Amino acid sequence: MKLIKFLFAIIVILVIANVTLTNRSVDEGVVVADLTRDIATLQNDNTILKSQVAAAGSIGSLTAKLAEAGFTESSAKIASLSTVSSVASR
Amino acid sequence: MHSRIQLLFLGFLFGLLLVILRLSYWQIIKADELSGAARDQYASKDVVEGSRGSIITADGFPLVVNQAVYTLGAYMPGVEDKPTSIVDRIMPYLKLEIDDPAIATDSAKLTVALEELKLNTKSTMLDRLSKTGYVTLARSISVEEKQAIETLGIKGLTFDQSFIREYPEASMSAQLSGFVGRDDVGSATGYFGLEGFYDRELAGRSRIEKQEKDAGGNPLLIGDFNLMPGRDGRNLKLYLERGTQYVVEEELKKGLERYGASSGEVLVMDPKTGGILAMASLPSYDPVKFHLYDTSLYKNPAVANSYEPGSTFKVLIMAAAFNEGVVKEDDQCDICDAPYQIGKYKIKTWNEEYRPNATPEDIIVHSDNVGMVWTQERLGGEKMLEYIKKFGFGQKSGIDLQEEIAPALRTKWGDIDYATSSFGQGIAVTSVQMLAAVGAIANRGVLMEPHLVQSVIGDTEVPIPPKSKGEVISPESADRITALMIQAVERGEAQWAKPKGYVVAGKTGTAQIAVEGHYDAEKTTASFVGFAPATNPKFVMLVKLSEPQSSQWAAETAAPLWFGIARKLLLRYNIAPTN
Repeated sequence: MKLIKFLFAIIVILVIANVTLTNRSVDEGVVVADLTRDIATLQNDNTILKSQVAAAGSIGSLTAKLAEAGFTESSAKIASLSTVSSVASR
Repeated sequence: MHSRIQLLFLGFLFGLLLVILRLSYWQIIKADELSGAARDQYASKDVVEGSRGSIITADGFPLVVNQAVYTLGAYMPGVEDKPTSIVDRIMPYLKLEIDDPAIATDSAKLTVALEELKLNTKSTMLDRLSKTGYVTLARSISVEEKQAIETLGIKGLTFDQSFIREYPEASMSAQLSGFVGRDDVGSATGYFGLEGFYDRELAGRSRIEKQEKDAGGNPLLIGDFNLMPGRDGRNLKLYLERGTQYVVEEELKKGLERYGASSGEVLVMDPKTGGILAMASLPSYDPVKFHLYDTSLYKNPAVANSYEPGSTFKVLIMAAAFNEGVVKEDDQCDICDAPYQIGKYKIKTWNEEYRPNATPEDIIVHSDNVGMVWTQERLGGEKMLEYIKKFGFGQKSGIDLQEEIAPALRTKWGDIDYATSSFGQGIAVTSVQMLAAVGAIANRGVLMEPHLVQSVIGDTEVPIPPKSKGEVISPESADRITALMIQAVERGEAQWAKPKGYVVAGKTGTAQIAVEGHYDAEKTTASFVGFAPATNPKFVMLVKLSEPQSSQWAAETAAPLWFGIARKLLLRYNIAPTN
């Protein structure tokens, strides 16, 4: 009789544990769904930002900004020093 | 009485049989279908498309990226405002564009066309908003347009996101990158250029997730879960340098205007690795609106079109003669004093000036056709053909662009064919083949496979090592032909344009264009190929102009353009003059 009571108690505990864990996992499902949504949003924002950074840093965009700021291509001659010339160090 | 009970029993038995048969039908025959339908009610399938990989330059800037665009829709049961009110509020935020280049470049036509487009768009929207269910109002709207419309707070509007390819450097190298279109089943597919060649690397694989969900759409963690993992497309890192490409494109644009050429190409390669540092061709197209352009523009002419190289080919034949030891620097041409007869054909020099006893240096510097026939005769026709093949002609260069062709070499060679080929007439090559062949001279005799991609970046970066196609000529022979190419620049027709203080090796080439079976004296292909600095070259470059109008000669068109670009590149690479 004791054994039956003991087994019954175990079954009751297992049923309660099962219900509790199932219930908790459903709650966790909400967290997982939120995380999945956040990941998708971040990945999306990341792609959009990458494209905006690329557009802002493109040579075409930089050239337009430089021209707007008044920079022009220099036509001045460039003088270069011979690489083998000795230079006074002191 | 007894028979009635029996009849009733049989009736029940028959009814029971029907029930058993019906149950068998549902539980055995229809079991899979029903369990599937039940699964569909509690399981959901999420498909996340893998994004397409980017193409980035050697200095880390993107040439091609993905850009989010949205389809603006309205879910009519959720719409509260009047259609006219919605359209009037949305319209100012939509950037309407006219795609047709003929209209877009004419301001008067553009204003009228835009007004017409605005009216049409408005009436289409009003018409759609009078329907029920879900309706589409506008396609391909940008992030900025979406954000502006969202601030209006109009109820019932939806934004469905998708991604398209964007080219931050505008149409820079469109014929290099190719474009992304749709295949027969509507899947995004790369066509031409890098998008075509590396389509499998660039394409992402969809992630498919099947799992049980509750009534609220949240996953049940104890339920069934099946995952087919996907991946984003891999990125391509090029040898191409953004700054070099920009210089080349700008100079080519100016060059086409200055010399009135119908088309032009500039290719720059690192002779040591075969890495393409820049590749530009004009006219080009906009890869985003590729459907508006003639399909003939889709192919990269540097790899998909053939031409006769003319005198630029002479350096290769002379290099072969040096390598075989059949011609030495102090040898003298004994047929160079007059036009040379081969059968019924007479070989003349380009300016009908003849130099008796010309040395190999004279032959290259003055681009002497008769002298080249003398060289070829010393080398022998079969041997010359062997070297032409060793330099990579008659086969694909191996460049990683989808549309590359390999112009076939003729199958039957006569004396006149050997003779004309020695000075680059009667033989067809592609620009990239010519660039690689001269690159072999710059690389001390070793032919490298031209390549655009230096590594493929996925979870890890996988480098594509430079590929040597073998030694075509010895380093000594390469040095000897380089010395002649230096003289061709120092003493040649285009010496005035050469960057001062730098030692440059190069050769001009002017070839008449064959039209309906004969050469048209007025139409030429002007080209210049060379490398700088001549010792330890940083780059080998080919400039090619088709049908230049200011002058038909390469020395007055392609060569100055080559030197102009080289001057900027030498400065860019921080190479100081040596003289």
